Amino acid sequence: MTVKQFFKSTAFKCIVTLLAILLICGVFLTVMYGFLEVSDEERFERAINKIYGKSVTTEAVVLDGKQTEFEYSSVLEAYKVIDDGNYLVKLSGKEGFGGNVECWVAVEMDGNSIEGIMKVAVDNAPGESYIGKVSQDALNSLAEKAEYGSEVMGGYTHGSKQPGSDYIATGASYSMRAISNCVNGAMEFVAKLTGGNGQ
Amino acid sequence: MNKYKRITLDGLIFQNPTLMLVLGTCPTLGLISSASSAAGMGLTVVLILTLSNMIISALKKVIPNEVRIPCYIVVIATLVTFARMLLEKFVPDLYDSLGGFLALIVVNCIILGRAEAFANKHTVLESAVDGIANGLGFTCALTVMGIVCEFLGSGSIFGLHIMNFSIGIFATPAGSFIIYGLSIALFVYIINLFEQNKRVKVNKLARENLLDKEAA
Repeated sequence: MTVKQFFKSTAFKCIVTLLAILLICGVFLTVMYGFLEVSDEERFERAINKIYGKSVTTEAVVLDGKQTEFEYSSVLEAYKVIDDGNYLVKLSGKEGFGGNVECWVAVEMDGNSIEGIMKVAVDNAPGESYIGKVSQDALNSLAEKAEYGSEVMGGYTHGSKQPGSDYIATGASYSMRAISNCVNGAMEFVAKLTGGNGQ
Repeated sequence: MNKYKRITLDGLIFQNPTLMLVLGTCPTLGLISSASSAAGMGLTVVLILTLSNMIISALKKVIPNEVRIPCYIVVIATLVTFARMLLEKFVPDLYDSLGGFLALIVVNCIILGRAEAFANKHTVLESAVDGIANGLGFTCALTVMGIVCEFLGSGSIFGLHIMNFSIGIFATPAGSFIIYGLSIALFVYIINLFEQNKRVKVNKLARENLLDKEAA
């Protein structure tokens, strides 16, 4: 086949059409992404709304020089809620199904002591399927059960391979373990941050 | 019968993608345990199906036959990504509730099926009507099954708690499977009854015409 024949062939037409469609689609999506991108601030506002149901004033906690790495979780961001003195901590919990699970944990405070967990909201769970999704009811009851000083959360103990009876929800079992790790980590972090044992 | 009316009735009832053609089963089983997720998924499919049908119909003379499927997939994937961006920006709750099934619309056989079977053979307007009709057929089927599943599974409809009553299995995909099967059976039974009645009427009319001719 000569070069001239190639340029007149169906193969060339196919390549050009496919590349043209790819290029147009790529440009379209790039432009749309510019308009529709969800910024970090917007994500943070959404997380706050998920927990409080309204906008609240927060102050970022400087993490430098503080312990942010725990055995089963690590603190990614932390904020003090000015309106009520509670802490809002974003953590990455280990041992999740398909990877680490990122959660927002609102730690309820009474002065300098931890009252308990106000709410838990999952921010990013990469391995979580829709069918194996942890329900908000399970998260709410996890918050109800959380008590400072106890490492057993939601029926799971660290390193345990057998989930507790309360949260056996199909494939969600392992995600729940990572979420429990986030809750434990949040309480440990806030207890160390407030300079006491949280009691 | 007007061709647009026929296309609409086919998409909504006689060739309903969910209940007659049994297409798009994966999102159906995964999402009908909640009526609002089912309706949200259906409406997203309406948008994507209509736009993909229109674009593919408009490009049918430009796209060579040999690479039509990759081209369709690129167009559909672009539209799905665009729909994901829209939902994440403006309806984050629905975006969260649809989860991975939103991305899976790319391989939804209703969309690729309509592109291959209808859009690349018809005009843009006809393809748009077909997209809307099939999308609405899918949405209606999913929403109705979602209402039944949610009511039986958690005693609520569209998240609104109605009564303290629940049968656990209907809140899971296993329960959705049972409801899906029963819905198909009921729908096919009703369509068969309708077509039988239609046949009886047509036969009666033909007999009367024959008798009139003989009398004349």
